[in-house]
Amino acid sequence: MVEEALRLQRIALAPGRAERIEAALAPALAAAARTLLPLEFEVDPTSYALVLERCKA
Amino acid sequence: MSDPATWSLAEAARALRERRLSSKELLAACLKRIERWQPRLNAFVELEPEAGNAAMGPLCGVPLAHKDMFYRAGRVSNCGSKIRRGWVASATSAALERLGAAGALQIGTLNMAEFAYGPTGHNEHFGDCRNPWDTARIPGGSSSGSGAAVAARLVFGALGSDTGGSVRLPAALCGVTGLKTTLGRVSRHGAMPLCHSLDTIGPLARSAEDCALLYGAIAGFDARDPTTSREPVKADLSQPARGLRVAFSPAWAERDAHPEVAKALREAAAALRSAGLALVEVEAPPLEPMSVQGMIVMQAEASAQHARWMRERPADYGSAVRARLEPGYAIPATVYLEALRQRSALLERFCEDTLRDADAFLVPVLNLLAPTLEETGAHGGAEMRKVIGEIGPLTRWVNYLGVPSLALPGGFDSRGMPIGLQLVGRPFAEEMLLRIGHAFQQATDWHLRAPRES
Repeated sequence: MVEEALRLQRIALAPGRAERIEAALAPALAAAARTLLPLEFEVDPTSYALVLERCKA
Repeated sequence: MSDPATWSLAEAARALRERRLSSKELLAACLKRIERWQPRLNAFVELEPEAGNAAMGPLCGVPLAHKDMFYRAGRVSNCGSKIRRGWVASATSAALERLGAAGALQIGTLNMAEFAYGPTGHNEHFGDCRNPWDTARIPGGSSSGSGAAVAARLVFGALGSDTGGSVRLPAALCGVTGLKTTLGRVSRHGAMPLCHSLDTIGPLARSAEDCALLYGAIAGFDARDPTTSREPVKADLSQPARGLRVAFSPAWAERDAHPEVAKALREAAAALRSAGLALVEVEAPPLEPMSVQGMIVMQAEASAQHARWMRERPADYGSAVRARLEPGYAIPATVYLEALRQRSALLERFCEDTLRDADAFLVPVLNLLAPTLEETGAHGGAEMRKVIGEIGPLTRWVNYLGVPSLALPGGFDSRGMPIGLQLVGRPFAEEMLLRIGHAFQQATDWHLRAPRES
């Protein structure tokens, strides 16, 4: 999967590299999914600028 | 008279204002030290002392040098890379312009990780930068030359950039003070980009007082960087820190921190208490989830930023940076955007929970003792990835939230290497962090200790 994804983006990989990336990336993606907070449906990334302002000292 | 190069920036600026010393004499003192230290540290990429700066200001005549990624019109910015080696900038960065307007001298460019994408100080193109406390150990990155040069008293301060810890890691490992600014506090115009959601610019210097002088000069709105804030810049340390509240998590430290780091944290809390600050025990914020989400954002954005060169000139990247960039192309867009969606909620939680009854959160910069260049280099063996993986988790979450953090020397380990602690605050709370840091440094002398020339 990694090999195909990078090939489509024209990123060259050394032989055997795709397997190593996949092995390293799988736990990172799993950890990212495991730790997600349940957010309101309406939240999108642009709310960050407003929150930064609201949280200021 | 003691060697003026060993004075703080504030003392040197005062001596210049009072004409007890000329800028030429101060520069000569720095150049003398650079001549002795540079062969051991490889902190400078280029030494190009300015004859003078006609601008009058708070930094008038003070020699500084900066990470080799702040563009200066007509001068080379290599960005630590083969790809940008010899590249001449056509415009000057906003941060350098502002330091120049404050009267500072720029005497050279400093070593850094290739494209600021590495936490150790290794550089395959310009040679590794070394730690002045022990040249076998890493100085930290990516602003490696900035940390090493300030620690060895070669310059009075230096700019660095911080995307995942790149100001605070070298500050901690080299035993100096470093300020990671709020996202949007310092203009990124004319500075090499890495990750647009995380990149910040900040100073490394010998004390919180020195960082305040540099921060006051560089921060503020800039129309050329639409992400900058119009929030007024304050860097006044004359107000006492007594009564300010510092949160910390002794239970986390006992459970998760390296014993020597945990001891430094406890002692720092005691020093702050004795300086009249209130210490508040809190549960640690969710450091691991925030660090994980921050890593996703960093990898996706850095790889997108470098996509063209990764297609056209992959062989011109160093092996370590290329290996860091490759996985970013395999991160699904949904995972990246979900990490960005989480950011607001996690920032609110940090401010509402961890900082509910406090002005800053005290936590180590690193949770391991300084590793060697060999352990963390290309030939470091199976342990190399593990050790490198342990370097960033306590700094990356701060960039993910976008909040400011002041890294301070907080003691020394059993091998004589500095231990760094950080004070993390609410958005735009730089002045408060600097006041707390200044109070801490009036109660301790860790920041006054300098590496010896052997």
